[in-house]
Amino acid sequence: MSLLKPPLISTKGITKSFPRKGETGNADGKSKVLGGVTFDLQSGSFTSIIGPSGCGKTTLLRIIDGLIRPDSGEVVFNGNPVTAPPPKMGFVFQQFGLLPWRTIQKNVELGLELRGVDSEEREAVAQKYIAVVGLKGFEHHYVHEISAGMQQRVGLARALSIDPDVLLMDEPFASVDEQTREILQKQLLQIVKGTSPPKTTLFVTHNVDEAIYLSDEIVLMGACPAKVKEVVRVDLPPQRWRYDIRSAPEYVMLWRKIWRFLENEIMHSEGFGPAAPGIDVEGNVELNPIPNETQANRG
Amino acid sequence: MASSRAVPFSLRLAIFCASLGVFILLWEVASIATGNSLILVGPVSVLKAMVGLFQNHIPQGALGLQSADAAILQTLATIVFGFGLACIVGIPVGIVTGRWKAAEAIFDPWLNATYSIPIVVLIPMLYFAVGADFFAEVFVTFLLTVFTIIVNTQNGVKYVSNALAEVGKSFGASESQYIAKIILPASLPDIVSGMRIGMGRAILGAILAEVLMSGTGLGGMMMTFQALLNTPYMMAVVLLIALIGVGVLQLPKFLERRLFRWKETESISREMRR
Amino acid sequence: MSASRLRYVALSGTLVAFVVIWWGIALAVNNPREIVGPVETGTAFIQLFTDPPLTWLLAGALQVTVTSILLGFSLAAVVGVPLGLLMGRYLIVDLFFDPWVNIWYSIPAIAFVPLTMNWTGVSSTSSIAIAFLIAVFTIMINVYGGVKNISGSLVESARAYGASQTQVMTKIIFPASLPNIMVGLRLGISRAIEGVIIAEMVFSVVGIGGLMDSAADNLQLALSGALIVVLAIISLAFAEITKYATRRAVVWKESQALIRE
Repeated sequence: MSLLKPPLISTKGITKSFPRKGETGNADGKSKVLGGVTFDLQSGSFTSIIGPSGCGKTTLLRIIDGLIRPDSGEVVFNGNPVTAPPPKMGFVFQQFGLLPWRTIQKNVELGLELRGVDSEEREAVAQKYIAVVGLKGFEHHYVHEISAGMQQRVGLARALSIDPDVLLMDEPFASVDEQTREILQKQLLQIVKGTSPPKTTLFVTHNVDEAIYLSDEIVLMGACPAKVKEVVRVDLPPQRWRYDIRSAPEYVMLWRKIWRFLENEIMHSEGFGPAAPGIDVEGNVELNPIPNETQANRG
Repeated sequence: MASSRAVPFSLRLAIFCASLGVFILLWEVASIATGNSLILVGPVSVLKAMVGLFQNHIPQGALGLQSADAAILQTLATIVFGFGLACIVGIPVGIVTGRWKAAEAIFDPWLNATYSIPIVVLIPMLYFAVGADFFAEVFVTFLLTVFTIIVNTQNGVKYVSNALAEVGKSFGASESQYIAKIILPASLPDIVSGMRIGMGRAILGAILAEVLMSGTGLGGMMMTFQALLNTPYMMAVVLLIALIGVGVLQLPKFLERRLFRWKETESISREMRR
Repeated sequence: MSASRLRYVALSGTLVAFVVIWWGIALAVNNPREIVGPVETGTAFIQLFTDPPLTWLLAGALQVTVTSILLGFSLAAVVGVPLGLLMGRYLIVDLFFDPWVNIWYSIPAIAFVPLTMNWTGVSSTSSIAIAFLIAVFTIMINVYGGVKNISGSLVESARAYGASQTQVMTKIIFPASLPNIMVGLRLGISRAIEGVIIAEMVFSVVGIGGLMDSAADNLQLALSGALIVVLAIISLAFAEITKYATRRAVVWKESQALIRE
């Protein structure tokens, strides 16, 4: 981590508990989802947060954006503590969050509209970003008329239109089918890496492949109560969409490492019980290359 | 109710005309069968009476009765004013109680009461308190309608999806921006639905007030003919009221269809709540 | 303050406020021909149960009103639920009944009153008829909506296992639409109560509604007010019973509409 510039976002000791689901009324049984999260986000970096499902990643992102207050700890953005959603943070939602009664154009304009930008300028900026995400020509469509992938691109355009210092993305491609997701990933990289300096992005996902493909850095979070277990650098070329990334040895190694970490966390927290044969007690699986005999037999 | 996607309008119209024809036929047969023109009167007589009404033929014993036009106008005016007032008061109240829990807690006992206890029961008492003039009737109509509108508006506002709320918050919407740009459009379908149901209540309220309080307007006219045992004319007025009821309700339905094109699903355009 | 305590405080607070304001207005107007205060109404209410001739009147009227409500509602349920199920399931039935439901539903209840007066006279039978006419369409519409909301895959899987039409209806459609049926019944009962009261008020001779109306005509406003309270209690009782029945019947589904009250 560079020590020359202060980090863009800095989280220190974030904790958060929620009343346990299923218990109504008194929330004595609170489940702690975040148990002291501390990490820094450098400007210009694409950082993913990955961890077992249901363990506070989404909550953490919302705390960083100021949508939820943490029980303890603080978030510092551009030197100021975050108490409410800062104007320079752009959030992209998993379920898109588009207003169904507005056209695409009007949806993208929402951020600017709320900031009091006048209508001519709004329109121009919105149209620019609609073109950036490749939806030119769809400005006057309604949300239900376009596909899920397109809807999320609208969400992205909307977040970009306010010219944020950082993009916060909450599993944005989880509601989209696999094929569309790959295309969107490529597009996203091209967009955020295409500006100079590149757009700082904080990206929550539970998809290992996605995290490696997109990120400069990956924050590994443990099971509940979640803490940052490790931060991994991704040493792959910046313009990844040009290469066959997934065959690179670096990629494979990273994938193994992260997946092993996740499996460990999940097995321990979900009580999967005695290890299945071939998996040792710690839940580690040795991933070996396919032996030559089998390859020959397949012929 | 039949999804208009699946069934062409012409077919539905045809079936409706056919069943309408069957209905009128049965009605005529039944009226001849019972023979007693006090109990049931055939469609022909009713139509004749309707024509008579509009030509201002004053039937025997009904001297001093309002003309049909005047009665219709009065009833319609009562409905419109009562309904309008109910919207002006009810929609803002519904927004406030939907948005702020404290307001909801205060209003809820009253709303629940009106769910359980029919307000119509107060009408005879109201007669003594406020009299029976136009304003009294409008007040009764208002009372009967306003709670429906409040409840439906409140529901729409309360259940604005969390996702939309978060979007507003993350883009830094102020309270007034949030209400104007997110809550109102999102809850508009429920508000209009409440208006549609409220319209039905307003019609009921107006006629009820006329029957129980003033004895004027279409409601009063209906009861006058009833008292005079003039069944054809009475049924003509009932038919008129029914036509007004059906006709007036087409407006909110039309509004719902036009305003909410952005909705993907066909709204089940009937009441699910009162 | 927790939510339930706040509601309790708000409830008692508003009740007290209501009674006080009522009292104040009655005092200010000071004309027993126009408005009667809570004290007099309360006294009359007690008299209803302590004064033998009044109690006798009350008992008779109560019986008439409650049976009218029950009969009218039951008839509406017995007719409305199956019809709603059939309309939801079979397009033919839907197409045939649809415009009629539209029309009858738009007619204000009061318009039925003089008609029934002609047919069954000024009696509780007429009240029952009116209650039936109003409640049945509400029930039908809600049941219909419930059926329409059933996921196609539920029906498909039943048919895949060889269920007959009747079995699909009884084992899949009916249970799956139960929440909406219960909502329909809840609304239906309040409309039936309303119908009975309207009819009784117009007839002015039968039931609690009639009693209340005659009392008002005789300028016995306190008695009239007391009878309104009686009606309120009856309505609340019915509402609670249906709420309870709803909770028992639909254990598996948590729905906003059901929880709201």
